Amino acid sequence: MEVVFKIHRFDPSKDVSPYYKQYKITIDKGTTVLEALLYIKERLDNSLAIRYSCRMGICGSCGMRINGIPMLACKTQVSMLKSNIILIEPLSNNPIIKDLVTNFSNLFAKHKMIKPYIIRKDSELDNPTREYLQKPNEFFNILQFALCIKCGLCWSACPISSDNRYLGPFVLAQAYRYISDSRDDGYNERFDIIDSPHGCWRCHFAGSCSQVCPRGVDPALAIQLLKKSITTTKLGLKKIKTAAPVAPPLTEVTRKLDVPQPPPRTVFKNQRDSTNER
Amino acid sequence: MSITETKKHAVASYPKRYNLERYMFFIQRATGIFLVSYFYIHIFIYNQRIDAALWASIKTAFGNPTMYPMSFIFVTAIMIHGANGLRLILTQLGFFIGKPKLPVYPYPPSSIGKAERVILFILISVAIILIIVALGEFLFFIR
Amino acid sequence: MRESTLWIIELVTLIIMIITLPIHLINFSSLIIGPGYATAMSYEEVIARAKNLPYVISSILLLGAIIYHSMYRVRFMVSELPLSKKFERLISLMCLIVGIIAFLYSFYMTIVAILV
Repeated sequence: MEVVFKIHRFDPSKDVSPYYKQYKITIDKGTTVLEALLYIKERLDNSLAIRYSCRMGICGSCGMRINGIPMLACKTQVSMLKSNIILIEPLSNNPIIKDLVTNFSNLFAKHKMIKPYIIRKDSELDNPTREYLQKPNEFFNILQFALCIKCGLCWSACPISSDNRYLGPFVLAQAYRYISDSRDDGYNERFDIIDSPHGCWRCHFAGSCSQVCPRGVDPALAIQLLKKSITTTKLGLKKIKTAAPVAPPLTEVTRKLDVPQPPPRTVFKNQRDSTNER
Repeated sequence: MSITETKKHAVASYPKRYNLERYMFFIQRATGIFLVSYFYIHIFIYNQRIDAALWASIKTAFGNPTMYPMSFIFVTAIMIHGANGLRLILTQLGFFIGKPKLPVYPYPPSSIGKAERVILFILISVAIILIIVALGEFLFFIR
Repeated sequence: MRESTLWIIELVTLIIMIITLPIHLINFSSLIIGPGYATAMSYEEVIARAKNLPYVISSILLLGAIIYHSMYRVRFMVSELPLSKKFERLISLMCLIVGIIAFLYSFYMTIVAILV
């Protein structure tokens, strides 16, 4: 099948303005857009700049707008697009480095602002003793949002992202992921950034972030739940949760009568040390 | 919590255009800007009511049937804005958007899923019925 | 003021609007459309309505709610444009001032209409 790729080209060191260049290539049934772009780069035009790494939708490097919709190039099959002319553009709302490569430093700086790690009041993180007690349903509450790969498609799809200071869908989804984590204690520390004029209230639930998400993270759901949680906490309907406790040390453990004793030791302490030294 | 397996062979389908809610967002913006300008003109005009002579001239300027289309546009805008706004209030308070779940391929998002679409269609159809009623009323009196 | 506080006030105004706006619209659509217009919007009837206390209270509530809602959203819309931080604060202040002026002016006119 012959397909025309219309690719956005822009080299800031040479070009004054972006332009589109067309490449006609033959594709197979399962050819992905990334494979087609690599074919173009290898055989037709080696000046094409693309960013990719894993080729299987895990690293989130190859996000681009394919026929106007942000998608991962490695997960998109050309034959499934059902069009003979495929328009390839870089992700919108980010500065363009070259051709299809955009600069994510603004997004990652915002991601850093919401403190994407577990915050605790006790010293358990610095001096770990035991595991935290987390129930399975508490784990499944955050698992969906923890699957985010930070590919930036949601930021490109969001109609409010032309405001460069807006935190953006995936950053707010990560904020909710850490706030709703039962092990976390950092509600008050993150509240100032989330509740800022460019925080979660700027989301108007256009829902495009959830539509384009390649991992099913559903950032729109996370942001609405974040708003709900802030509203209910502010109205006093819900208390700020306390972090899950550390598992208590095991005491009075007795062996069941029908469980047999372990076999005698064959490796002793001084013996193991000597093998390590060797 | 359980992992549900889809019986049908899950096929990747790529969206050709953005979702309905995104278009509703732009409609909400446009009707909002129209309604804000309408509202401030409306309260300014209505506050001239204490002067009898001025009120009579305003009444002849705005109170004839040529202003009915303007009123109809206002009714249309306020119905669409109100219906979509009601959905936004409900969803932003956490109703009809589902719960976090384990994503299963092809990852249908629950926030713009079935429940949310149903509530959107119900509210918009109520708004459209009211708009048709208003249109009938306007047409009846213009004639 | 915190954004979440502004949002909770917004929720209150939305509830007020959901109650009072349909009353206002139905009331006026039955009054002004068609042959009733000639009398319903005459000076005497308008002033008579302006002295009706339940009507005045619901109008003032609706007025305050719509002014708050509109200015809150206008501020959102403007601050989504790529502006400097200083200009954004100026816009917030201007929204507040315009809202307060519009409300006080209408409130003053309502009192005047009661006393006429």
